[in-house]
Amino acid sequence: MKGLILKDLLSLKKQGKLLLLMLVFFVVYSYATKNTSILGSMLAVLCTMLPITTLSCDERSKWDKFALSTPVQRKTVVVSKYVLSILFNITAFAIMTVINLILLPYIENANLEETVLTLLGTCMGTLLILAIFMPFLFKFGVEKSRFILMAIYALPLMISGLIHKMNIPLPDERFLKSLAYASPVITLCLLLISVNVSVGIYNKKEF
Amino acid sequence: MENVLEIRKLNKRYKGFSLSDVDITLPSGSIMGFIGENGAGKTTTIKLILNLLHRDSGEIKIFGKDNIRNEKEIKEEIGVVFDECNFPDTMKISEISRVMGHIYSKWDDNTFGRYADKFSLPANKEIKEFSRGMKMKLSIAAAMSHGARLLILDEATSGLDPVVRDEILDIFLEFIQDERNAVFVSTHILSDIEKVADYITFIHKGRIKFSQPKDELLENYGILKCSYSEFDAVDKSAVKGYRKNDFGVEALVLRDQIRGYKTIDHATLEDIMLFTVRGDQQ
Repeated sequence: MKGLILKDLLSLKKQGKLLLLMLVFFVVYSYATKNTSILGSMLAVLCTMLPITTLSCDERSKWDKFALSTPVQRKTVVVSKYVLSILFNITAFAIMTVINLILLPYIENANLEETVLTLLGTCMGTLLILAIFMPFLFKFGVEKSRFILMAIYALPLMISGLIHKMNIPLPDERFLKSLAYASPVITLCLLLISVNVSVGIYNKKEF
Repeated sequence: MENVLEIRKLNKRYKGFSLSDVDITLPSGSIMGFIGENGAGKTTTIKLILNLLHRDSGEIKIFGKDNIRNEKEIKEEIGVVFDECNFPDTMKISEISRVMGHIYSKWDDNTFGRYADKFSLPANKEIKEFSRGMKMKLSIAAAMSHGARLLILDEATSGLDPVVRDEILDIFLEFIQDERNAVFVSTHILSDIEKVADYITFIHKGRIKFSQPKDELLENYGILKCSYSEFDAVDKSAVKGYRKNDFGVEALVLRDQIRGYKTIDHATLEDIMLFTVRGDQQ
């Protein structure tokens, strides 16, 4: 497991520098526009793109075939991708929180709790997308999965659109708040189910 | 002598191709050349050995243990080299060593470093800048740095120049100096195999045509050159394949079943392979 994650991190080195550059750009941008919401969206997109990036790198060098010829087990390959994504997500969330806290005094109408809750929501939302998306990624490979990911991105928009159209009243703030606090538990459960589905898919695969 | 690899009645069916009843036995201390045309089933067999493909039926034992039930334990002692380098191309030698150290319990940085030096692999270049020869050497170095007892190579020497191939063959010979080790190498470069292999296994259309000691094979077979009328008189059960031309017939024959002909030439591995394929079509 450690070997696989290390390998992914090492092969992501180049992208890492680019990521840092983007981060600096968006921090400056947020400061200039006095609005940090773009940081959260950026976090969401980047975190969900990460497994695609590492898997496409693996596909290119036919790494799986080699890795599975070593003592690495199939289950480990799958779990390592989840662990890497979650680690990345949490790190990104931590960085964003720090940046937000620093920028807070410069933002108009800033509210600490709301900012943190929004970030937590984004972080959990991203993990939720991962939980739905990863089994597709293992099943269909990188190329086809890009389109599936786009569809998954569109899903929340569609649902909110539907709610609006059908005049379903929005739940009150207290309910939303408790949902945000409960989201880590819900996400964790969904991730566990997702891992099991992915392992099942990967076990059947031939290389 | 213990068998390092034993395959019994191995079957795998695809649409349009099937691997049928493959039997292979590789004793320790030896090198087996696994030969056959493109698409004959070499890579499929190797992937089945490594459990990268799921077999339909049959049995595969490595070091006397089942290849699926004892997979993890067995793979600690196998070194695998595929026809291309499977490390991400942005990595460097030292990084590969770090990663592999977490993958194999008996990975040895020093051994790997020694091979890297021996093969003059550049330490500070990324793999994508390596030549094909260097990439293959890197894969071989990685396969030999965790105390493997069985090396499995799939077309690893094709596309390499003769000098590099010769270096690699030397490494195989050195490797089997330890009587517990063995090498299983698939290739279609027959001259390489003729130089180093102890056993030859020939696969054709998913079936094993023969699997026997190289010396026995080269001794048993011969090339008979004779006229049409002489050829008609030959016992056909001794003929494995033939080629007719304006001057007469050339045929691959079993020497001890042919009597009275003086001109039975030495058959090379290439002759044996080509005539066997031809005989199959005749």
